[in-house]
Amino acid sequence: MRIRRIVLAVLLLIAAARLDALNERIGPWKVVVGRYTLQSNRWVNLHQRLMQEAMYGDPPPSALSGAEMERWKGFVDRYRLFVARRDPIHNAELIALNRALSDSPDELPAAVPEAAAAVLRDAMPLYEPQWVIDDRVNRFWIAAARPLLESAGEELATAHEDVYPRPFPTEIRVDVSPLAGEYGAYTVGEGAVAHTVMSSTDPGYKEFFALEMLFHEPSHAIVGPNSRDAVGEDLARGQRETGLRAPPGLWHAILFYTSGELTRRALARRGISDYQPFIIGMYERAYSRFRASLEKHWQDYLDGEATRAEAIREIVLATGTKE
Amino acid sequence: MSLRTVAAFAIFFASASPSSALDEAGRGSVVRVGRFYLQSNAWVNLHQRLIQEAKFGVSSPSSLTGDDLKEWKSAVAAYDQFIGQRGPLDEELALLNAALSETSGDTLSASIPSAAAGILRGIMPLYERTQWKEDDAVNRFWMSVEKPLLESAEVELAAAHARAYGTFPSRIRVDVSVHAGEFGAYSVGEGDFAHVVISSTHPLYRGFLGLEMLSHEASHAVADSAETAVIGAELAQAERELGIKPRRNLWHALLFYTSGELTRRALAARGVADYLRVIDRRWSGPFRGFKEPLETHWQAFLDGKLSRADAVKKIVEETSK
Repeated sequence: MRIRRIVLAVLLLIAAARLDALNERIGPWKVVVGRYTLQSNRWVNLHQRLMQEAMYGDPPPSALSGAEMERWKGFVDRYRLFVARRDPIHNAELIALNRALSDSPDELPAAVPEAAAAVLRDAMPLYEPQWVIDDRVNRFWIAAARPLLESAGEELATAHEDVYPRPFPTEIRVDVSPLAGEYGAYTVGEGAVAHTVMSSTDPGYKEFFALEMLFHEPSHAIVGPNSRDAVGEDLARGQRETGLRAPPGLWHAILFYTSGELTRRALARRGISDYQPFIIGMYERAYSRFRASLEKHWQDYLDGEATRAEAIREIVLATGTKE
Repeated sequence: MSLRTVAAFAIFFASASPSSALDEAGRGSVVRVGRFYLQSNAWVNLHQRLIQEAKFGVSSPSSLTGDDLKEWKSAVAAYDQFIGQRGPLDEELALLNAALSETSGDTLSASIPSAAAGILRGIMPLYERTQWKEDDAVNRFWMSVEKPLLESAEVELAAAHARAYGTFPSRIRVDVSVHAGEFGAYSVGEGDFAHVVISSTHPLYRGFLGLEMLSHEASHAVADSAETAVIGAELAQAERELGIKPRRNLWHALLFYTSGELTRRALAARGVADYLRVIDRRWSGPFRGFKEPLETHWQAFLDGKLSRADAVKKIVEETSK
């Protein structure tokens, strides 16, 4: 029995080493392109996986069964208690935790709160087989996204700066993970620094969508609903001028439209004449009432045929409600 | 000697020469990944552009006006005459394309028919001045997108195709061009060599689909309708045994299915769970009536549960009903 276990352990080690070698062939775990650092980090991936299962009921790693599955579920329960009702975009402790993990490819950093550290430390050995698969998927995503950024990265950063107009973040960390929150990606940070977590498996972040989303997400560091944010500031002025209240999701729809349209243009210059920005698929779900005014007035602004203030005013007039 | 053999030899001998290493020098650029040699070559692009306008009526380069446009149109008309009714698989045209593919400088090979060489040489300065830079940028972007996909999956996909067909080309030259024939790509070559011309702008040859189509096109060197080729041999055998003539494009559907399914698997192992194969976009078109038989029997073959000959026989039987 003991010998059989030893043989099994050796075989598993050999298999893991082979899979690691395959992952190396797919591409590096970390890539720097201009202002972007894209990386596949085991601690961030475990953290995101535990959060996703705890908060949104995603299934556990498929290779787990029996006693291992029970142990895993125990870790998820403990993480659920730790995360509680907090969300990773607005809670300072969760933001700092994700950043600390992101900074540490090997050892679990000391800055991680003990309640989380204990679960992460205990769960990591169980996660390892799944991590080999997750890492491969992440590296493939990074390898595919890299040439898009190399070709169009700076052009798109400048285009976004012209639109908002604010300096685009210069230090953008992107943690790539199969699971990345409720919508497949989220970003924290402000001004020059953005920290994004982005899904390597969500269809909305794949192929040319990846390029658009690599600009949409860090834009959150400068664009938002508040009067100090790009777009938010314009909407506040538009509301004052019109006496109307802008719908809550309008600022985000403008962000989607902007990155989508700028990406569409960048790709058209590279022979992709039929790119459909992400927002096209969202019109049916969430933004149908914004479509006409965005396609007319915000497009006019992006085309240089209207000022930003004029465009926002028209959009608020078309979509706003009385205070 | 068949056209494919002629073209394969031409490519083989020419590829052995140092002139094949264009890299950033000369007119174009090169990307090498394993068995694949991808390039953006001005002469091939000009040749393909002239054919596309002469035969399929695509517009002239939009930057051309006045005398430039007149000069271009006159070259297109002359090329139309030179091509006549021939398609790109015509022996002389395949050899011409292979020779252009090997040309990086100003001097065209003496093997190129003088009628074509005169037109190409005459119009190249205008093409270079007005359109080539844009075409080259588009081609380079296409290559940069496909390169990491090939680097990740090329070895695995070649092995999988070799398991399906018994063989797969070990040297695949890919000319990337804004225009690439009626369907967006075509291939010549045989056995170990394939010469592919593939479009950098056609939606069906882009991103993950590009990965599938690079394998699909290279497969034409080993699998086709000829009785001496893989697939063709099994179809002929099924025809003899069943007394049923297989549908004309069944061999091609099998190629599409094979590269599509093998690419789907390779991508699934890399986190892409929703890849839609090219053939999945064609079931209601030219491959009407093939879906169920292929998804049953060819899938069983690819899963190792049925021999290739048995799978083909069952498919021929069911698609003839």
